[in-house]
Amino acid sequence: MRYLFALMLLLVPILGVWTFVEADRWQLWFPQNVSSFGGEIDGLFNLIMYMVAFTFIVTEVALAWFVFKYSANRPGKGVFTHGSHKLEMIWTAIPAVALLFIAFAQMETWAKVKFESNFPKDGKYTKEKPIAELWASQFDWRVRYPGDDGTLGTVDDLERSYEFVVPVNTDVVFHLRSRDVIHSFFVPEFRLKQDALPGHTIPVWFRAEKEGIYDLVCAELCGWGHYKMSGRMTVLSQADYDKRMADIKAEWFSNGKEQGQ
Amino acid sequence: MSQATTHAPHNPHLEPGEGEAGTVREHHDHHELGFLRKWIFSVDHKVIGLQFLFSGLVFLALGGMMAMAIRYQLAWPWRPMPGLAWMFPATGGAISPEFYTMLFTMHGTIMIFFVMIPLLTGAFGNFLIPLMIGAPDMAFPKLNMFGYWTMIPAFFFILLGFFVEGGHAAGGWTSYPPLSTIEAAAPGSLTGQTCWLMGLTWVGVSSMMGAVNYVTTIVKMRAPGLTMMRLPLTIWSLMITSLLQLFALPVLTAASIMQLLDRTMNTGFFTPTNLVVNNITPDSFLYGSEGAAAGGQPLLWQHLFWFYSHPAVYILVLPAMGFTSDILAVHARKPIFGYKPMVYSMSAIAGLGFIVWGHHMFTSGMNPALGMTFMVSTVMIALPSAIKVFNWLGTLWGGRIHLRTPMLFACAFVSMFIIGGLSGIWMAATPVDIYIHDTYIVVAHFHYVVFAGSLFAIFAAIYHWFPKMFGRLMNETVGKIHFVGSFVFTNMTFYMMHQLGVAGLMRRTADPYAYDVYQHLQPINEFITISAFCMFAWQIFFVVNFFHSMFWGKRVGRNPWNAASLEWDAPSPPGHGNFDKQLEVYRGAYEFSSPEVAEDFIPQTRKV
Amino acid sequence: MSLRLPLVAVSGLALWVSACQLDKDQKPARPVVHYSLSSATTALGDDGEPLIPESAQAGIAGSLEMLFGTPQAPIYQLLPEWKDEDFDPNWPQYPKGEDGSGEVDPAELVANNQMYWRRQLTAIDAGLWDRVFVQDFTPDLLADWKALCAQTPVEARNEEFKKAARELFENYYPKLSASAELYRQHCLHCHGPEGGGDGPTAPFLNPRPRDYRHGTFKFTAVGKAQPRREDLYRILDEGVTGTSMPSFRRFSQAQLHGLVDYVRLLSMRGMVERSLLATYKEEETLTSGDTIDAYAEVWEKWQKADSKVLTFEGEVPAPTAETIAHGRELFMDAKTGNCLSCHGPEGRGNGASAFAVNPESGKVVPTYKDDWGNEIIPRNLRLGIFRGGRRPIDIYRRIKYGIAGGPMPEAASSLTNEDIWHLVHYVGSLSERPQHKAAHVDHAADHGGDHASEKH
Repeated sequence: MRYLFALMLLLVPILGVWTFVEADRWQLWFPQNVSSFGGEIDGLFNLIMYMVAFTFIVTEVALAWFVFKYSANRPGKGVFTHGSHKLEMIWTAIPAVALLFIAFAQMETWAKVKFESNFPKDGKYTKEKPIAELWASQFDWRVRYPGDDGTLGTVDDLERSYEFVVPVNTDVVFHLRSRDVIHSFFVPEFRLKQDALPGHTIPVWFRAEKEGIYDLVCAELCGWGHYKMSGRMTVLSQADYDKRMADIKAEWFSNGKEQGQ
Repeated sequence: MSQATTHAPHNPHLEPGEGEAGTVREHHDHHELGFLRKWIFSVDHKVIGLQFLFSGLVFLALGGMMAMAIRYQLAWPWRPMPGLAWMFPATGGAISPEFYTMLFTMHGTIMIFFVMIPLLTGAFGNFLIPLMIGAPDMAFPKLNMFGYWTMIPAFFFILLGFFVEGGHAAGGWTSYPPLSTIEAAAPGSLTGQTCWLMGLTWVGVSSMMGAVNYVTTIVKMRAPGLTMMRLPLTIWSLMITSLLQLFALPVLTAASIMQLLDRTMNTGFFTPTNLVVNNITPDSFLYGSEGAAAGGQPLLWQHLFWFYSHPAVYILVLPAMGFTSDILAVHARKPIFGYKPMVYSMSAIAGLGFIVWGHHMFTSGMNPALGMTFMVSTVMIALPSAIKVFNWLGTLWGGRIHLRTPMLFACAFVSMFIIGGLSGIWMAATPVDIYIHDTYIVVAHFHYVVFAGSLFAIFAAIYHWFPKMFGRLMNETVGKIHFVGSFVFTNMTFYMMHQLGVAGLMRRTADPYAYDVYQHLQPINEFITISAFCMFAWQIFFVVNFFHSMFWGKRVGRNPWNAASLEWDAPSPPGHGNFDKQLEVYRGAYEFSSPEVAEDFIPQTRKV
Repeated sequence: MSLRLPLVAVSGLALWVSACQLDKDQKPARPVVHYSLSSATTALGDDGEPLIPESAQAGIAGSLEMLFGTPQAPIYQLLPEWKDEDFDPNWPQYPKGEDGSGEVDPAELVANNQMYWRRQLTAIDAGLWDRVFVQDFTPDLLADWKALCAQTPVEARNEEFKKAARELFENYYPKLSASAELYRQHCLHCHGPEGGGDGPTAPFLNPRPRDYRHGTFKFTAVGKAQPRREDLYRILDEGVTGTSMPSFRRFSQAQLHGLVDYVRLLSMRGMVERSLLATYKEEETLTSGDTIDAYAEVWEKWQKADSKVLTFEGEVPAPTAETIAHGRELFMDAKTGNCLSCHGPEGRGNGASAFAVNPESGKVVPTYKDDWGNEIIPRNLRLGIFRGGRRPIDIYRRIKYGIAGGPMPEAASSLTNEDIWHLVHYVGSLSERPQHKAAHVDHAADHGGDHASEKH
């Protein structure tokens, strides 16, 4: 029986590592990254993964090996020891250093993504002059672009539901707001997530580096329709973006003659 | 183990007045209590422990069934739900989305507050503490009884919620306001949320009574010679857990009372101004609104809630670590490796546990500078956990391992805890957490810790202390079958959730496949669901074994495992007052394979 | 008591069941949904007997099933005269607009399909067949794709196969039954199987989901007539902000058009049912001729919608301080605009005439009810939430034509177009509060709140 049990314990690291190795092939890995900081986040994930994998394999294999070896019908008694001060020091100090390394390795990226002091200041869009306001409400995303006056909260603001259009390769800052409960802005391809807090306006920045259409999902439970609360992040080249904005504006000030208006 | 003692509640040899709580037992020695006094209104810690055990297992089955319903929906969204289809005639039997939100909310709530905490601290805390420290009962037996009886209103409210209009609470087990405080925000917030809050508050009261009792008992009622550093690690873990509860629970209780006030008295602790929820502005005096106070802060709830609930996750795992330590040492016939580091690391986990709550809120809009500090403390909490794992491995090394069922589950606990602990490092790292927050990797992480970890430790503890509870052994073969299936199917269920999380799949979505990024994840969810069904079905072996062994299992004497700690000096099952002899403790609880004696263990009470 | 026998049996059973499960690549069957008659038809009288005899109810149900099929197999029954016109409202001719109510550009649908199925098309191009995932709510496409795959083994899949596969996805337009399945998965739990607005989620929603069966839809471009396809499409596409109806642009345009088809079917079914009920109450009997007449009549109403579309000649005027000020005068003026009587002097939707004191309970209750019998209160214009859209033309249409099914009146006769535009600008400005400085960002949460009025 000990063969079976040791094998079961041994299969944990084997299959565990194998599924991670194969995950990409099964499309069970990160979706493509399109944001400027996404690569760093993936890198940190991988850094932790490799360090963790080492510990995982060593401890799990040791566990399986010990269970296998010492469950054999051996004569005599077990080793009588109450521990080893030296070993304790070693396996306290080494993980401590490793963990501190992990913690400090994170800080730069975290500060880059989330600290408002690090937000783009000299680009077209800044914390003070965001590209748009993204309103979350049960169960809808609505984007509000400032109209010609460039100021949000005026009569000429344009509003569209569902689709948030941004230009590629541009530092984009937008304001995230919620009308009712807590929602969360999450675009897997951007590696970006930020809760929308009712009563707060939270500035968020990113820089999309590849044109395309990405899903915008709500990542914080917001009621029965949480799963319905989808949106779309459309990243366009600057020219297409300008054209799209012109279309949105034309549609906004439509006189109702166009098809479907 | 020649002694064939059986049900022996009568003990003529007991010295009256032994121990401070000894007063309860001295007059009961020679007459049987009625059924009600013995099993229902009992002040005996063992019976109260069993009460917690049975109610915990009943709720475990309930919570498990909810998990199955959740899994069914995730594998095959909007198909007729077996067993629940009658509730939804209009949809042809497919559940409604608000029902799904209720399912996962109540699955989490029940599993944490009505299964794991009552089982770990209520059942085993009650049963083991007096026995393992050589006390005749708890310090406050009546308080102990009330500790279980305050669970009754908790059961009442948590079950009542299923039958109120709008169904039970549906704001997640974390109940973030304003979703949970504003009645219009979700069907479950109509009345169900109030039931939820009442239920939780009563659980808190119960845990509080228990915690006071445990700490007092452990500090004041140890047998002579049993110093703190000779305590079994189970007792240390329960003591540290109780301290956690004592310090953290008042915060949760205060927070849930605040939320209750927000809901019923129109206060505005957690509700900001000018929300428009389901067409109602709660703080206006317009038609349909009640002019609630507003100007509150949703984040305040998150801080208060996690200030309790993060320590609570250590409440969920520390006792399991304690049980595992004991069971590993006993069945490996080895002293625990590094007893003192074990104690210190458990204390460190508890201490650090109070300053890491913010890691649940990295993306919540909290000041990101706070995130930085919470990250460092959270990453560092992995250190004591790592020390414990290494010490468990050290304990196994060079042992004479008997692979009995409790040992298998304890080894599985170590294996699963390694997975759950290591994946936690991703979550602690703030930039990585931006991506993986609220994805399935989090689900995988806490299920590996709480389900594959703590619940396996509970299984181990049940198999291990069953002889002490009922004087009979559980069937070993069936136990092993139970172990193999549980272990395999548990891993099949939860392991791939890591990859789902890396692929970005969010928690709490009733139908993720309408999203482009998630549509290809359906087959893997189907696989997980089938594994989960098998795992759930496999527990039939445990149920059959448990009840069968309770009545027809093999009778055993006091110490079937040749263990060294004090509870094995009492008869199996122990009578009222526990011990039939004067105890004197001479050593720690882990003197196995000692060269001093011929046998491979020295009971704590034996003078060599 | 021996444990061995039951245990062997149970474990054998468990293994067998799990093995079966793992082998089968099958999902549980889709649920069977039924259309039922509306509560008006099945109502009971004071004596507890149904007002309409059960045989007549069965007749109505039978007629409806004959005309519209079942939720699993919905169909528009063809009228004889359509044969000559070569008109078939069932797929595939329908979205091309022979009924005159809205053309759908096939090229646009294809382009949208290419966007919507981009993952599948990329996988097809790359020959990664196991990555072509077809969602559960497109059962017809799933079946077609499986059939196509079954024809050609993997190794024989050449460029031709890829082309056929691409075409399958690019030209996808759902059959009515597939739209009914999509409706079942994503709409039914609010709107109910017959579109009665009575699904399991419906009781918790404010406002209640639309009951299609009256054929009345509020936010259209055609005043109070039956909506155009575009109007329904726009609601699906943009959502109704301020309600629980989200934008469903997550689905492809073809799928949304399919949903429009199906919603129209449900709506017509409800209208025919109401019409048959009225006929029965009048004549105490129903003939098959009545059924066909009711069906034709309902169709005519829907086909006429397009002629009533409300547009505006020329450019939409831009808002200025003057137009807003003039709009405010009109809003307040009891003779011309008289908006304040319902919407209140500040536009909070608390005008005097919209509420009354219930003499029995002594509580303030809304005066008005909508066509569906729900209490209705005037919109709070301060919130910036306009269900039919916040575009100037949307508000213009609401003011000029009123809102179907509710108490909002037409202003076409009392106001000139210019005045309406001024009102539009004033109403649009009520909720606005410019964000000039980021320093105020955190306090801007009271958007549309009390302070907004001071700004204007």
